[in-house]
Amino acid sequence: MMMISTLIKSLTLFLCLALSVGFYTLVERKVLSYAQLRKGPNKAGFLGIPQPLADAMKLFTKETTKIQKSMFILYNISPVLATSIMFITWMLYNTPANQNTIIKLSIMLFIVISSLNVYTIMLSGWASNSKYALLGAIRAVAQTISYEISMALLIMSILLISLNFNMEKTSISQMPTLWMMFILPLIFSAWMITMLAETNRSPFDLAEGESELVSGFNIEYGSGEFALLFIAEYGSILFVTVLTATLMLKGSFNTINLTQMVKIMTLAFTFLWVRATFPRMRYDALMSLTWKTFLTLTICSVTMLITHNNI
Amino acid sequence: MMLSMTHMVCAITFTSLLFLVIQMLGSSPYSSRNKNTPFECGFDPKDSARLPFSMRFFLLAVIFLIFDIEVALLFPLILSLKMKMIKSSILTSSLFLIILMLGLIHEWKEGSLSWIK
Repeated sequence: MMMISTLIKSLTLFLCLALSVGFYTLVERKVLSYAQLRKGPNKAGFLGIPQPLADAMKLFTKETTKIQKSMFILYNISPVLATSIMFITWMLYNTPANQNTIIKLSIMLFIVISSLNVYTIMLSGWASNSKYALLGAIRAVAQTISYEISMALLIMSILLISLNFNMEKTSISQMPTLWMMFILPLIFSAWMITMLAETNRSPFDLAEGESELVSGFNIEYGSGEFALLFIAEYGSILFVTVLTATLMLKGSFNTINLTQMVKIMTLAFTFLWVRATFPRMRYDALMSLTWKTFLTLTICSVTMLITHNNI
Repeated sequence: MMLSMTHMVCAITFTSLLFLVIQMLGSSPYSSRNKNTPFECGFDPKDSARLPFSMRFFLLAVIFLIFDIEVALLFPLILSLKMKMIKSSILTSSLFLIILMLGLIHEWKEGSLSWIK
């Protein structure tokens, strides 16, 4: 009985997630277009709101291609793997409607699962037997693994204050007005930048790099397979915003209320705002940012925060 | 435990079914040489796509491996602080972090972190 209810809850979660990803892309297009003083999608249906549904329908009915000399199995597995990993990450999110899994060490599990994303990028880039895809994949992998270290240390400096591996308890341990964001402002800004780089978002989307690599590691993917990769990317962005809201802004992981919604949406909007505002970084600047700035910053902050427990 | 396993299995099954649907809707019996070549700005692909890549990336992966292991070893520190083993944990962890920092400075001086020499 428990099993069946979990099944139904999980399936509902997946469907809602796919929908929210769709509408998040619509928000992105709208925000970008208004940032550039144009209208954006406003023709389909009422005010262009059903646009993502039409896009999804189009993507899923397009023809799939089999690329010459590509590793057929790996090429097809990697989008499926990417989306499954994204869905599994959302297991950590417990709302009253979706209270199926209660995990004690949820932050640990997040770190473990988020490191799996590298494999899908590597597989999809390497297996599609294209030079652009390979170059994009190498860049993306190098970027993601570099930022992973500073991400783990940033999470650790938050956890050294809350002394917990659980997201809900970390959220509760913050005072009502004194959020982690205000206690550790430097860590918060570093965290936001790291999250942008982890999810290959705009100022750091060297993997994509339209001007040189056309589309990066997903260049050979079309139709539904591209849709799967896309869902995985945007779903993980949404998860990151929820995580940031919980760890830094005293959001909640098992109740849904208005403030939580506002926090999540503000963070999600920030991701789009950054994309509309900043130009792309240079690759060597990107790498020296994490290895020379963030790593030293986080090692120092962890060292300081360990001693704070003694006082 | 059982329930999270159910969730994982459910996620994988759901996505695989989605993939099957995509393949069913999108597979076409017709294929031609031009349709199936990898994209290369309108040209025919010349050489093998398994390109050699810069040594920097490999070096970066090796450094990542070391740092990631050290981070993984640092994580139990939080539990030991929670269990009030403060003196010993501060001692060991600061020693550990100093070694980490020294390693970083060494890499920096050696020049393996800078992309352009």
